[in-house]
Amino acid sequence: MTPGLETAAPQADPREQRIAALVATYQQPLLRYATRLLNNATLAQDAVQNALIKLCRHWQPNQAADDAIRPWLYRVTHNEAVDLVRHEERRRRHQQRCCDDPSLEPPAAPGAMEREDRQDQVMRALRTLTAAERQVVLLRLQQGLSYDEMAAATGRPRGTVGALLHTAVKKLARTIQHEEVT
Amino acid sequence: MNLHEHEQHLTAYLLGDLTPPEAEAVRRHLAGCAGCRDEARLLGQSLGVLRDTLREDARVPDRLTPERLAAVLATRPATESARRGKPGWLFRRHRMSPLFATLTGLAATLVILAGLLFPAVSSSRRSADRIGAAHRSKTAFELSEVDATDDLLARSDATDMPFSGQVDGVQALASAEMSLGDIAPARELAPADPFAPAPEARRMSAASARPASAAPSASLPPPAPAAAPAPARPSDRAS
Repeated sequence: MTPGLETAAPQADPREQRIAALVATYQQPLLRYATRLLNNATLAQDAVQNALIKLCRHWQPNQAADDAIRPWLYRVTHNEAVDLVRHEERRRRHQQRCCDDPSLEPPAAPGAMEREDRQDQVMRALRTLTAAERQVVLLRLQQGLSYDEMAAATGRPRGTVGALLHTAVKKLARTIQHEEVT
Repeated sequence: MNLHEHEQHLTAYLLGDLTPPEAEAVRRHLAGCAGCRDEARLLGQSLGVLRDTLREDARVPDRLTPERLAAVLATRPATESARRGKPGWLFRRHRMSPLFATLTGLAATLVILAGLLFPAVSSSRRSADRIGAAHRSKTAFELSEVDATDDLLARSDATDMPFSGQVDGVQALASAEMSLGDIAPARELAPADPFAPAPEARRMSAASARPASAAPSASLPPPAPAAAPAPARPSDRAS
């Protein structure tokens, strides 16, 4: 009886196994993406948790190819992040609290710390972008999505995604260059 | 710096995202354009920094917290009920039946209340119309039945009929004044409006037709600017 159960268990839950594998694969990249998108680690955990819960609820073995899951997950994570930001803004209006996570904040001024590394500079420049620009920068440069995947993840045409990315990179380049000069 | 049509492709070119023919076109352009070469150099340096920095971001957590991960993995598929022959949305709807029953009951109550209140509203409206009809008896529009007044009100917006016992009708009149400047009954009937300040309006009506449109407008700020200059315009045009 025990051997029978042992052999039946893996066959009964191929879906759960696949889901667990997908969660293990995507939780880190999604967390990195959401954290820099929101600039808040706690909200990013919420967004990724909600996105992965939706994956668990809706994914079926023959429903979608793995290629389609990736942009879908980024899209759902982004939507969850937007919802959380709106909710947080409403809450903040009542409580007058800041949404940004202090642990992720770069120094307030470029010379505030003795040793300011490049990462602070980049993260500060990243925050000068619009939400749409930051989204495509993170999807392409942090997550390595292709233009077609970015188009699927953002719901924008491929050309628009390319133009957004170029505009964002130009802004970042100017900001970084300006900070290096000053 | 003259950045040409290929400028918007520079980022894609530097990231290796262009097709070979597109990349070749950009390459040829860069060979002959110093401005775009400088731009490409700046973007290339920044792209390298950006990509390395974003991918080596050590401050970002790598994993969900154990509680969150457990909650994710414990989530059951939404279509599990479909496997048992029940569509998920329908199954959820059945589970929500008490709420739907409550809403249905509320809607039914509202319908009944509306049915009970409607005769009262209708009778009060008819009494107001009856007053208006009494005034209108001085005019050429002699209406024999109150229901016919309701019909006139209903069509007043469409036909720009000036008479109305309701605020909406007055507003419609005020907005329609520009196009109805040559219809005399419009200003003669307005003072008889039971909702207008009767003594002043009647006095002014006896004096001239112009204040008749101004009287209801004064109590309704939005249409006032449109209605006030209206009587003056025909004379402007005439002059």
